[in-house]
Amino acid sequence: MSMFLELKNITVHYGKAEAVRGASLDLAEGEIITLIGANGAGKSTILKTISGVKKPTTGEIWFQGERIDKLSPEKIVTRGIAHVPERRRIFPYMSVQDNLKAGAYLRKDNQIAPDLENVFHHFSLLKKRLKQMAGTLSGGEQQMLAMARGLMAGPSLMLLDEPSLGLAPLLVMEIANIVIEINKQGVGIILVEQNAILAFRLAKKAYVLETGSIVLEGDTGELLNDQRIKEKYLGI
Amino acid sequence: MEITFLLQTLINGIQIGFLYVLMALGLTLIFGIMHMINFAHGQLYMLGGFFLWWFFAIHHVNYVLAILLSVIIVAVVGLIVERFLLRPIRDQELYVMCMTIALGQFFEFAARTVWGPLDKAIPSVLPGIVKFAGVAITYKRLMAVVVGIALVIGLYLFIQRTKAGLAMRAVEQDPEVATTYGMGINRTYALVFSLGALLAAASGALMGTIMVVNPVMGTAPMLKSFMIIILGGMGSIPGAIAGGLIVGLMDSFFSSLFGIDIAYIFVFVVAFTFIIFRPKGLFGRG
Repeated sequence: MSMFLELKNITVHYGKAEAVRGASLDLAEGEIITLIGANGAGKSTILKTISGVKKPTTGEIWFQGERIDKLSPEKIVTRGIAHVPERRRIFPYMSVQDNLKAGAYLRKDNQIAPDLENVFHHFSLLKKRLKQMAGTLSGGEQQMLAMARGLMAGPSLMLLDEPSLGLAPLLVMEIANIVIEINKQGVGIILVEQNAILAFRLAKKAYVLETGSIVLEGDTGELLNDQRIKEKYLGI
Repeated sequence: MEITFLLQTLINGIQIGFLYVLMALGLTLIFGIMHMINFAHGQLYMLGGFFLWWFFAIHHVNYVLAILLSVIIVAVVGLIVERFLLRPIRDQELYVMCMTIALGQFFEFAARTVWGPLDKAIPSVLPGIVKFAGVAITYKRLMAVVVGIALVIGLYLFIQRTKAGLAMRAVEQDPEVATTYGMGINRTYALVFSLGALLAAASGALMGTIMVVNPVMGTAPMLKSFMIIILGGMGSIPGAIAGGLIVGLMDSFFSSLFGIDIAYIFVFVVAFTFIIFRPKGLFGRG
């Protein structure tokens, strides 16, 4: 059976520097997996390679039976992959509403209005701020907007890069609950996190990256008992 | 008498200001979204003037149609320039700068070769004068203001209300993220450069109608437009509008009071001051 998403032996370079070396991973439909590791381990680069912003030097990426590593980002988002980048990166000088429109930019289907309702269901706060300039939102609100913008692309797979970054613990809980809700609606999620405790709570499977290579992988339940993981990433 | 003089100078300033606004808007869009300084902008303006003269004075095409044809041709020139001359080198700022300087000279000397170096007058359209409270404005100058305002409003609506405008704003604010949501950089840049060329051509065609057309007509307005977008804030649309009107008014008042040369110098003194003390201009995002 072919997987929903499969990365086969991906290597990615920035100029001459190797950022990811021979990474392979897979994800079943509607599953949450997490990539954990230190800064610069290559987690964000893997997400960028899936969404097509970076092209792999070698290796293949397959999504729903189609090879996508040579496709443009534009084609990849229409296949149903939405990238919610690190540090939110909402469009600061646009209204909340225009940010949401930007998420649905390429869509021509008639599900946009129901998807907008769905976004307001997850992020009720945004509904009150539609006309507000996105750059004036608080950090937590900006994270919500970034995720909402991603949802507006109508994805079946969401790439979530460090959604908890810089947020207060209470907000992190709120974001985590929303991630679970979104996933319950059938959206697969690849979660990149520094906060490994959070990541392990949400994901079924984890991949541990060190300097561009996947050094460990497995079900999060099992990895929790792994001594190396405990010491290095969970701090217990 | 004094009031009449003030009003007349004010009206002249606003009229010239709107032509600067059109030109500066094109320049600021190209700078803000594409991060390119277009040194051929003055020559695109000049081409707008020459095509209008060629269609209207030589081939007797209807004036409105002649304006439309002129700005569309220059917009297509912009499209070709972006696609074949700028896109291959767009990550290299210095190459882009040299390329636009070369292009500007190419257009200027091409126009000289084809049409000669001398001034060409565009036959009078809309003859007559409006008089109002002792102040006079010719119909054609009034038309230039009306067309200028219409284009500014049209541009604003295009950027704020259309999908292509949404993509322009998104690409300006975060090109990489815009790409991941399917807003093509190439398509957006092509649109922006050609829109900038169109605005320059419209400004040149209107100015040509009021004054005369010649191959070097674009140089001084282009250099002034650079000062305008510095004053208003590089990349800022409200900045280009405010800056264009301010410089138009300065032109008008200082040339009435001290002569045209002092007026020209003064704009650049204001520019020095802004570059040193407020480099982000009136409306820049810093």
